[in-house]
Amino acid sequence: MTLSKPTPQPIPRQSAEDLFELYSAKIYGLALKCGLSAKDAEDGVQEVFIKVQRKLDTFRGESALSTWLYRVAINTLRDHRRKVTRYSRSQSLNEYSDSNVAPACNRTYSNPSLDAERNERRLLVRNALQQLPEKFREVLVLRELEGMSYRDISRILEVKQGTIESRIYRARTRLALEISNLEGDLND
Amino acid sequence: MINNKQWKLRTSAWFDGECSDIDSAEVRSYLLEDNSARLEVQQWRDLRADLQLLQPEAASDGCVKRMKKRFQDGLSHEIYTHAKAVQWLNIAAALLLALSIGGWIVVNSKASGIEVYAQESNQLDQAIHDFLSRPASND
Repeated sequence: MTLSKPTPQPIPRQSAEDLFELYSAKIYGLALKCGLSAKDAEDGVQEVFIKVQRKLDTFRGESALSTWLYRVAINTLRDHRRKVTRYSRSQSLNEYSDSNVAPACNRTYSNPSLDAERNERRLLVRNALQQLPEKFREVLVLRELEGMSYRDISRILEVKQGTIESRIYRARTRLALEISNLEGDLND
Repeated sequence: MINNKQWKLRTSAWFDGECSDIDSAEVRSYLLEDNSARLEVQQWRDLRADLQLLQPEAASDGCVKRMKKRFQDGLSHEIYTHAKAVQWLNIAAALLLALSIGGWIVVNSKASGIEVYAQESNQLDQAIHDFLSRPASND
């Protein structure tokens, strides 16, 4: 995914409702990728767009509107996730297999043992991703699952591009380690 | 001279397609020479494939409709709350204005009352003074 160039851009006349039409499904997907359950992702999307409604006047066109919106979304979903995990730490993992959030890869396989194997692997990877510090998890989600460039990620997270480069490298190393540890636990 | 850590960072950026052509050529040469770096890149490929397992399905129509309704309800509540706040602010401003105008009228009417009284008193004093200073009649 590539976000459009940020400068210079006229201040948009779009309402929060227009933005909801355009981006709600994407933000919902982002919420799921950030580790929220289907229900919490819906709550998260509502929080994001209510915040967009409140903050839309403050958008000065210094970055692309989509970058600004993703920034609001990431920050809001981060807070929402913290709030949710405070109450139910393990709930999201179980709810992830709901029909609403069944990963795309599940639809095309008809072999039950292959499906089971993939599901098991998916849960393991998801669990490993949840073990990562927030800053590592976010860059991996934006890079690997949203397909964003380093430049876009640095604008969204308001961090230098060099930092993003190093953070992605460290996040990969940590994730590989977490997966390996979880595999080790399973084999023991 | 690039150190080992810098090579790793550059290789990671190359893996993500974030390197210039010159840097990419350098990374490819580095990978040809360094077996552990090649293994690490292979590990990242596996990770990428693993992470794709977490790619969720697109939100269903039902889900989008539900979210839209919730958002509109939330928006209505937000607008209603905002409108209520503005309404109360207007009422408070109107009350303040009414009190200010009332206060100003009271203060000014009192001030002018004293002045009138004073004027009347002066006139009365003057009249008494004039009366008393008249020469006494012989009658």
